Amino acid sequence: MPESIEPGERKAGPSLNPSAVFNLSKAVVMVVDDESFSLRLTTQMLLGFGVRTRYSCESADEAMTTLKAHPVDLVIVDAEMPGKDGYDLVRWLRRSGLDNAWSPALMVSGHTPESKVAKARDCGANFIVARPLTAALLLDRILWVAKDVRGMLETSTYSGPDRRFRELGPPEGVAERRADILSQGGLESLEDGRLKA
Amino acid sequence: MSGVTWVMRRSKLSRLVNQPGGTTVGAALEAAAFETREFRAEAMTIVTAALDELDAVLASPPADEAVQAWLETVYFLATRISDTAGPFGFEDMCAAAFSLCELSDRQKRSGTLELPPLKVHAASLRLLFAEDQPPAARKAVLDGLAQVVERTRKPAA
Repeated sequence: MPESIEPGERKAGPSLNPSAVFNLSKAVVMVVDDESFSLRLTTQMLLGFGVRTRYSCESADEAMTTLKAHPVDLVIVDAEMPGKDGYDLVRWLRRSGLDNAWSPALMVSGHTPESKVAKARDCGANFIVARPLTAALLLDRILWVAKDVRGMLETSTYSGPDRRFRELGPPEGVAERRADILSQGGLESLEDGRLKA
Repeated sequence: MSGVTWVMRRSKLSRLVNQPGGTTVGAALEAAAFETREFRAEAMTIVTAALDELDAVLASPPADEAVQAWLETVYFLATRISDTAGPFGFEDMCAAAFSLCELSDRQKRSGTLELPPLKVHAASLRLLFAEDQPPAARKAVLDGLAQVVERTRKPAA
């Protein structure tokens, strides 16, 4: 068994500078996860990051109700949920016409079933984060998405961030995890630009 | 003719994150560790229960008409193990659980139930969870799983 490692003690990703300063105290963050344990764990991590206002939702329907009623600056959503999943939620959000419609969305995914690859690619999330979700990885990706300067596209078939990374790449100073690309089994087209030589 | 609207907009999050005050990354990770210090024991309980349930499920293979739902349960338990153990350093176990997800999803798509490779995965998860093994032994377990998965990819001769 591995030695005891707490989520916040995991080694930071290569892009995390321990002395870098950020401020999330006024950010409103929503976490959506049907697994109670993961939901509480992620929410507690956010508390450690200084996020004061957090919404915890156990279903996409609950999240939709909150998103209609309250401003949210960042949505962190579990991809795999029974009924409406994380992909459905973000797709709905992007087309909702709400003030929150273009709020950054981080999709947290372990394994993506082949039947949902296209759905994942087209849902409109800013980034898909591969589990396991540690505190260091979560913070890394939150800061990453905060630096995301891609424009938003709205077409008849897709609403979300411009997926053409080829010229842009990850934000300056951010190294991507190979797992974020490879563990999504079949999401190569989504990550196409990030696979550049 | 289809239209494309392209909007350059800076998210509110990007403005907030750069406001004066805040904290350092190092302090934030320490605070997150403090806030989540109670979670490890609960995670271990959840993983143990999921492993037990996985063993019980695999001990009762279904009738043909119930294969899809049965494989869905296997898939669900694998994701639960991966999601719960992952944040606490069980990276090898996560890799094995991910492999089980891949395998059960593939069997579900093909409608073909092959019990042995599923059981090998369950046994490997136990090894990676419970045994104090050196990295080389853990790697051997994962390499073995990779071979099992690779074999299931190949059509029977």
